[in-house]
Amino acid sequence: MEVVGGDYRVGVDSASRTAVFSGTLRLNGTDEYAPILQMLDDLLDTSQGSNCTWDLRELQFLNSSGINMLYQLVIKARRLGNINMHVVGSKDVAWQGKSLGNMSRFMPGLELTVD
Amino acid sequence: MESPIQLTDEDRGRLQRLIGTLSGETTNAQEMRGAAEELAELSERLGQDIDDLSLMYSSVIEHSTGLENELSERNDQISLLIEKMRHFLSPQLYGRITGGTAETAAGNHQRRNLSVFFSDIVGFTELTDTVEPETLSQMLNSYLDEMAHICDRWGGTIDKFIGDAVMIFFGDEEQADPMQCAKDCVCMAVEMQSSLGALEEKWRSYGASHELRIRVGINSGYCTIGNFGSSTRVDYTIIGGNVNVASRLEHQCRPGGVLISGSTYAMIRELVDVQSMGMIQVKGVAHPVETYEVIGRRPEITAQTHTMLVERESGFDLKSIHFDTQATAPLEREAIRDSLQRALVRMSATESSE
Repeated sequence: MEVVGGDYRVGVDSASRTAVFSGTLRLNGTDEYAPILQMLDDLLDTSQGSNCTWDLRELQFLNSSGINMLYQLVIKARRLGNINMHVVGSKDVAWQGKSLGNMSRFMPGLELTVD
Repeated sequence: MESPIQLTDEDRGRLQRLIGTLSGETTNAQEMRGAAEELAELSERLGQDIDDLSLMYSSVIEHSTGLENELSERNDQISLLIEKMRHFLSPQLYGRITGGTAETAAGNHQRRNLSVFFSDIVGFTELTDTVEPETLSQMLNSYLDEMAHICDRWGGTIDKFIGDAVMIFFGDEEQADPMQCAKDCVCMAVEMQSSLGALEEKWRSYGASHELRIRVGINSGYCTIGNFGSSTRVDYTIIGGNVNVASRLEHQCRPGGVLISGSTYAMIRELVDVQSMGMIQVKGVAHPVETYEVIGRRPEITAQTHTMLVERESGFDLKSIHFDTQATAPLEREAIRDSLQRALVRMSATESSE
């Protein structure tokens, strides 16, 4: 399952419960993010009682609407209370250092790997 | 997906019910306790929502600020690069690139009626053997800098510098008037010739005693203009028989002169005095080319091309003049005579008013 645009791709592997992001995500507002949000929300639902991984290493750019969407999903994961969230980032991508670090503040149990 | 942080209709209903219960006159103590516990639980959840919202707000702002700062840094880098690039390009080409209208692909060409200028310094090759490289570099840069400034003033496009040679064309803009281009091109050439005395003085300050004289060739006609090169490296330049004619005229020109073709002369005959220099045959051009040396300027362009005399409100500066009965070309003589005459007129006017 995937959502692909001109310069981005978000794909979900149901077997490993992993979402892989790449490219430049600069969609306008919640309406344009809706298909991606829906796909990631479904992934959270199917990950209950297990682990869920977001691999953001190849996501070069994410705008404010995009990070807002990810933060909401992390809050939902915390509230569901039965998902082991694992977020993987890259220190070579400027925006990821701080913005991914803040995810742990929404969900203290979240496992964050930034290499 | 519904936002995890929101006050749902169910929450609103619960709140109204609890307010009704707590404010009801008939509510007993047990109902009061139950309502208070439910309200505490709802308040706890709403408090958590507010904490999440607050954290989300500050985190999104932090993310946005990071992006804005990075964007600003990148903009600064781009501005710096553009500023550096400006020095390697003609103002016209620079304007088109930064304005987004320049095509970068090789093969994008147009035919335009241009006036093409070539110049080179007489004896510059010999100079390279006798002058220290550092001095030579100073001399060449000061010369090219002055030529570029004059070119910019007249609106020419510097196609390229080839060592001491300069190639310029007029008519880069689509709406350019060929007659105005020819006039500007010749005026520029005359001004360049007139500016050499002051430059020669500068050369002497560098320790070089070489006489600075240039040859100039100008031709007007249709040329092919555009990007020429490979898929990885293109030059914005002009090609065609008329370009070759201008180059050949420059080679034929006597030191200190401006040699123009018949087609250029036809467009500026009211502005200059010329001397016919016969016909030349240029390889690749079917017909022989008429040539004329510019020997004088009519008042209309004389007033615009004074560089030996720089007038100020309180007086004037007369730049260094070197006159040689044999070597000084007619155009230089005319410029010297004109500058001196104007200087005298200016002085006389001052004295009579005192």
